Amino acid sequence: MTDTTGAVYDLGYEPYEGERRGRSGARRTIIADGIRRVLGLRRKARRKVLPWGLVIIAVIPAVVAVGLAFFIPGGTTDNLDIASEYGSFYVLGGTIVLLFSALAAPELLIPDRRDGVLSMLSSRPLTSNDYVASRFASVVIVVAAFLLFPQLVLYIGEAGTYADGIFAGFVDAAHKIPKSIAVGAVYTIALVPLAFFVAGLSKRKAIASSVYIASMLALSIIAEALVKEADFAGNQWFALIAPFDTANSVNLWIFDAPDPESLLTVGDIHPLVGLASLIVIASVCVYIVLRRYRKLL
Amino acid sequence: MTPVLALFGATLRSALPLKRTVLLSLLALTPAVLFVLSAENRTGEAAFVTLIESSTGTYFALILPIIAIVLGAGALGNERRDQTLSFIALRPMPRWVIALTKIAAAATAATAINLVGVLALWITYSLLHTFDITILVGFVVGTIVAVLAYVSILVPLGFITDRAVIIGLAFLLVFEDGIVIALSGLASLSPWRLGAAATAGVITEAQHIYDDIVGSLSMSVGSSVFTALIYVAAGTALTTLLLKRRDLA
Amino acid sequence: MTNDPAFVSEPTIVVENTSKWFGQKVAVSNLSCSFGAGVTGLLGPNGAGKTTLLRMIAGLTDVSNGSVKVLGKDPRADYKVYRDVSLVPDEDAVYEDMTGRRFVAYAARLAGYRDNDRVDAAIEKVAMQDAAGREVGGYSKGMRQRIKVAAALVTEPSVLILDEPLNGTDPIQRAHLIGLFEQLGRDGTTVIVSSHVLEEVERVSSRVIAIVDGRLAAAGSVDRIRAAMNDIPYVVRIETDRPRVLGARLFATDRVFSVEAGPGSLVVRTGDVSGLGNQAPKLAVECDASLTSFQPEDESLESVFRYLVEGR
Repeated sequence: MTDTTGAVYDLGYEPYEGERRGRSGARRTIIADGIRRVLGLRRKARRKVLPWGLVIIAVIPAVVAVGLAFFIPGGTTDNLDIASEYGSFYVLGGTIVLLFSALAAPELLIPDRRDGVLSMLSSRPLTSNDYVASRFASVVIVVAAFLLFPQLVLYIGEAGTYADGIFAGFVDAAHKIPKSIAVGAVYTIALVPLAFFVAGLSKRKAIASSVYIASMLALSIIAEALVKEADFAGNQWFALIAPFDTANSVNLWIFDAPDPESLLTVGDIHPLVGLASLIVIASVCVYIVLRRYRKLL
Repeated sequence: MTPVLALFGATLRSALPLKRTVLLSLLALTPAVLFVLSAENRTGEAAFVTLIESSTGTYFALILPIIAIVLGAGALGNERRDQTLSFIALRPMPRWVIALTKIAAAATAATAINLVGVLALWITYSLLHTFDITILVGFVVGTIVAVLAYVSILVPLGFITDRAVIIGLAFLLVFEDGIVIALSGLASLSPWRLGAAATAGVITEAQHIYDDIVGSLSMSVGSSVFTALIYVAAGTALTTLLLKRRDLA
Repeated sequence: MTNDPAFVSEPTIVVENTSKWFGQKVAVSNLSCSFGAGVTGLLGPNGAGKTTLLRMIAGLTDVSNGSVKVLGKDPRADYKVYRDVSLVPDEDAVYEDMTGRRFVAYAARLAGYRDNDRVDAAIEKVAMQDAAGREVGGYSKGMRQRIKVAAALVTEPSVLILDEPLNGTDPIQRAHLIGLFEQLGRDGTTVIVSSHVLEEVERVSSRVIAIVDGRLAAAGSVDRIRAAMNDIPYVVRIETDRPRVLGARLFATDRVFSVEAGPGSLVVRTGDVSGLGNQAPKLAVECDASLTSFQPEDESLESVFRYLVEGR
């Protein structure tokens, strides 16, 4: 005798009745996930080594310089004039951002494509632009910390060694704040979109990282050879093909410490033209990545 | 000998598929192109100085390391990533033979690609300025020395981590092109400077130009080759130890 | 040890008090057994430690404790053992840009063999002649498994370790491979087959080693393992036209633990199958019931496996 009736049993499942955070919530989640991923948070210890190692390399020189300035008798010396060091510490910071972007951009973009997670994300209240912008925001937030924290240390250090007291120092050095933020933005524009561009088109993280670093290195060296050694009409404009060098030049110009050996100076190109070229390159990179993800999501 | 040749050949073939060979060869031609543009209005001694300086900046300090790092890291790294390491390991071959064969194959692949660039550079210089076989020999020797040193580091590193290429490039960028400039006593830890020192040992008339570049290194072929062989021995020993001790899943 | 079915009298592989842990996770715990000529099936649920055990035997993973000897040698320390040992791993482990023939030839060359006849013979054994000229990257999963087996067989090993070799194979390919393993076992090769495809393992293996949670759970032939499970009653299905009447009579005997009556059949739990088999027809005659079928239901490897896993 077969039983033809059916039954549905209540196992206690209930529909979700809580808050639905919508598109902004989805964006915030992607940003938080991105920050965790690039810093290796909630992951194995070895995933933290490289990013936090870079953080330490970025921060320690500023801390050491300020420490030395405080403890060497007789106040500041020419070698430890913190007021003039913002630009040169930013050059180090820029190098660290380059390496960090090489790690972070592939880490954020490639696994989602490779593991098929994008199809899951596309069923969420998230557009392709939201996704790319959120991933970008994760990197920018961490990069901003990289770049601005050493500058903050220098700012406090400069104020702390001020002859008229720390509060007077804070006021007197306050003009460095908008400069620091501006230069941070310059390095971010110069380095991060390019890293996203390479990661957006690569299938493997290691290849994306290496192509990015190798390209930045190669562009710097090639630009240097063409600007300083070559002698043909228009060779100076090759200075603009090296985003890292351009960012360094703009950085030092903003802090009133231009480098006479920089490619822009040798090529007699105004730093604002350099800045404009960085914005153009960044815009093209961002456009290409957005277009690619419009097809994927 | 059959197993060694089989492993060598397979590693070489996998290091240089057609697309990668073409791309890397084009990259290797960059120094020749830059030299043509840089030395356009120069002759004689000025052209020679431009050749040495431009090749140091673009070839030794950039193109050669990038190619050697990429190919060195892939020798065992790609096997590990593609899960074929067990295929190699479960063969009746001593581990040190596997290690040395991998290093040799990666070095051969990197040298071959780099020699494309060296030949292009030398032919360009010969056609536009002066024919001098010593320059070709010097660059070839320097290439082999530098490539051996890089590959000996990158093969075991590629076995340990899938980030070997980025670590290698960071080493190039931060250490070789940064720290060693400030601390010239560390020049022996810079593989490309080792290659440049070997080149200077052959092209003796360029030694005054290489003097600032190679730091504390002796500009002699013998000592550079000896140092490179130490790198190879150390790289082989480390790789052997890794193959013996680590899980080969 | 000679009476323990976990050990064979002339072992080629000896695993002695072997443990393996990865950090806090114990994958294999104090396991001792041996393998000899013939086919041994290695069974266990996912995460039981089968692959870890096979990797330790193949020398790909070091033991954390204890020892593994293959043909009298430590596979981690003595590379020469690989002249006689081949592994077909679970993961892909193939060179996608090589043709099948070149892949098998590469395996032969790495072992020092240069003759192509050996390569052709290995490819023929796995019936891959037609596809051998194509790149492995274009193979299906089943074809990749077969070419991996060919690469393992090209050196004519005396020990062949296969981790899930039947994965991805269709029924015809599976039957062919099983026949191949059976033949190798008959020829004296030590073959260890790890698989989840229980009915095929049951067919090909004369001996089974079962691992659960990293420990040796059972060893021996399937029926002997079942017989050793004294605490688990046998399940017997009896088909009859008077199930309730016969069921009541059976339940009254002292060898029956429980009876379930269904339409046209009984499911009886007993500790003595053969005794019940003698008694049931007599009782059927006494109560005028016809007995059309008497079938033990849990002597299959699947049932044994289920008891081993769920009973723990």
